[in-house]
Amino acid sequence: MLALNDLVARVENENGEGKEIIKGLSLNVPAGEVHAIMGPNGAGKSTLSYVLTGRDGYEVTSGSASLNDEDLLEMDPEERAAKGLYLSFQYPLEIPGVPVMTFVRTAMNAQRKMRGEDEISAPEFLKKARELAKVLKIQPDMLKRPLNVGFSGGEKKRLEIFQAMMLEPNFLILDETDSGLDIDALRIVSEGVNALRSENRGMLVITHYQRLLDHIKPDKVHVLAAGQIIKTGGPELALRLEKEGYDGVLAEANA
Amino acid sequence: MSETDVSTLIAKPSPAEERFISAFKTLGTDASRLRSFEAFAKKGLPHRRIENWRWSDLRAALKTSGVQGNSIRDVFAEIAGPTFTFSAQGVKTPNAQPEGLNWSEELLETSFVASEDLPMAALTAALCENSRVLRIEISADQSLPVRLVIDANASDMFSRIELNVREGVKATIVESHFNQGGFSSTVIEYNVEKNASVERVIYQSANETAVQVVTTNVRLSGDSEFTQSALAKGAKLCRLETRVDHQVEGAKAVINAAYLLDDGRHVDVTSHVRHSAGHCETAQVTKGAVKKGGKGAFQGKFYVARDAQKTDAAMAHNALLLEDGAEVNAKPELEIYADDVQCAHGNTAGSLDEDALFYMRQRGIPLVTAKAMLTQSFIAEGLATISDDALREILEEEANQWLMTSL
Ligand SMILES: Nc1ncnc2c1ncn2[C@@H]1O[C@H](COP(=O)(O)OP(=O)(O)O)[C@@H](O)[C@H]1O
Ligand SMILES: [Mg+2]
Repeated sequence: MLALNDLVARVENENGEGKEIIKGLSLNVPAGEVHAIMGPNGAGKSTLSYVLTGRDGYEVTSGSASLNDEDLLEMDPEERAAKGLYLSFQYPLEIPGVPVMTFVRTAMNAQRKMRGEDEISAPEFLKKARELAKVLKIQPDMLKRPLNVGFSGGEKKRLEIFQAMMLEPNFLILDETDSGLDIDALRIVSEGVNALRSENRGMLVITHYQRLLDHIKPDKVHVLAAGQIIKTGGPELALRLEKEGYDGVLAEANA
Repeated sequence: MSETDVSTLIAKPSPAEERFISAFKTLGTDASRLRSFEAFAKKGLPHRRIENWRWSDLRAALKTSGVQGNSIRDVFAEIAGPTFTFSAQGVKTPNAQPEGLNWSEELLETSFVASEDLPMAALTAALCENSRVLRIEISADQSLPVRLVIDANASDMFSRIELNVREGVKATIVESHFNQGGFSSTVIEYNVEKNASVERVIYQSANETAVQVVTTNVRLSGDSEFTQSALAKGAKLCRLETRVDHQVEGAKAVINAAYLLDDGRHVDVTSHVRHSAGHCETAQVTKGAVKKGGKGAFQGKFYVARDAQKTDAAMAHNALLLEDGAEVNAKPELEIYADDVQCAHGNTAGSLDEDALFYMRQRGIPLVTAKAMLTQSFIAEGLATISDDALREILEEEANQWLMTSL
């Protein structure tokens, strides 16, 4: 489903200088699977998520990235979204003046339009939003407020999952969705993510902590360090990292 | 005074000033017109070296004469209400006369228009033909808005309107200021009596060769309310100047505006609010969005007299530079002589939040729509105080249309 092959990418700073952050990264996430990516701070995890979603200033210099055999790198960010690629941001942005409901409906209909589908009807949209808000324990009045403006860190993350459940993407990248969540919120959010698991949907879960993976059981765990996948294993790898930290794995990789 | 005297009032007149001199001669030698012309002639057409006009060089803008362009679409065309239309043909008044609405096509006093601070108001008082002078009296609540349409073509056009809103009366005035490519100057005087309440909604749109000046003078009596909201799209040069005087305690004024400027468009939103009496409020928000080649200017001044204690006045101007090459200048000013007042002003200029734009695109919202949504929300506050939903929605929709086609 998601196929990355020897991907090399640079990040441009404000002065226009490029710095290579992703240094030959290969990864395959088949449909129906959930893969976790773990790795030290600064390893390039968020950078990878931005490269895949097409953020300006993130330039791929070689390698390939495709979703369902379609080249992602040629597409604008909104086209990638319409193809079903969804990023739950590590730091969700505030969108002043645009209520959550308006935002999500605009996004949903824009995606549908790009896919040549009909717009969702207002009652259908409302019904779906109400149901999902209930599942995620989001207060209905929150959906009338400008997206993320003045929301707490936990509320923002909950809204990221709300949007994912509304938009029903084919492939989700969750970038530290667990950070800033208390135990109850973590459980609610994880349940939302698990509800999205399906045989034709893939997920890449970026996290530092085992506690998220207790809820969302990954099929595979990859360790990302210095812009490359240095080790891949099953769920037991995450447990080992939790116990030992990254040093052992990093030493093995350098040996 | 003889005709030759008028010709010598302006040393080295520009072609536009020559035009004004000969127009004046055809109007006869009314003493009050002459006083106004003399006031104008002292400095002539304002230009960039005149402090209050440095971002609106009228002299330069009027170097070339008018070019007739297409007529301007009136977004308020469907709004029902007694309508006064000012055009090259003169004033067209409503067919029916609602109760409490009276008008006469004469206006005699030139109390403020001769002021040297307002050269264009003086010029307008001097040159406005009798066919484009109107005094309106509103002496009972109006269920429908009163509409003023000022629709200039490629020739010079001067119009004068006086609106008197009587004690305790509520009225909505909807103004459309259009210019198809010439020079127009309009002077509007609002006299808002005790306890009266006026909502003024303005839409300005003009072709790119138009030079348009609208000067408004508002006198507020005790416990009156005046709420002004404007959507301006600019012209080759467009100056929207509003002067408000809180003359008696308890008056409240809101003067808001949103401006949207394309390449080659200019707008200058200038205001002067004088708190002569205490216990009055002014709230002012001006929001602008400017594309490459567009030029916005904001000049706002609060003057608080020594006796105007407990004045509460706040001014904000925030501009969004949508592209490199957009230009915005601003000069907020406070001049305060009372000691127990609350006055504030703020001014910002910036560009759209790139991170927010990427976030929106990641959700599938196309870049143009994302920019339009963020810009719309940015300027929204400039129109938010329009209490009539239909009027507000018309202007919001017009702004949205501009954003969706221009970005
Ligand atoms: N916009 C940027 N400009 C310059 N350097 C950046 C930028 N974004 C990320 N980096 C650098 O790239 C590296 C990887 O960052 P990031 O992907 O955020 O790491 P992670 O998410 O794994 O903690 C870091 O060294 C960081 O400083
Ligand atoms: Mg990160």
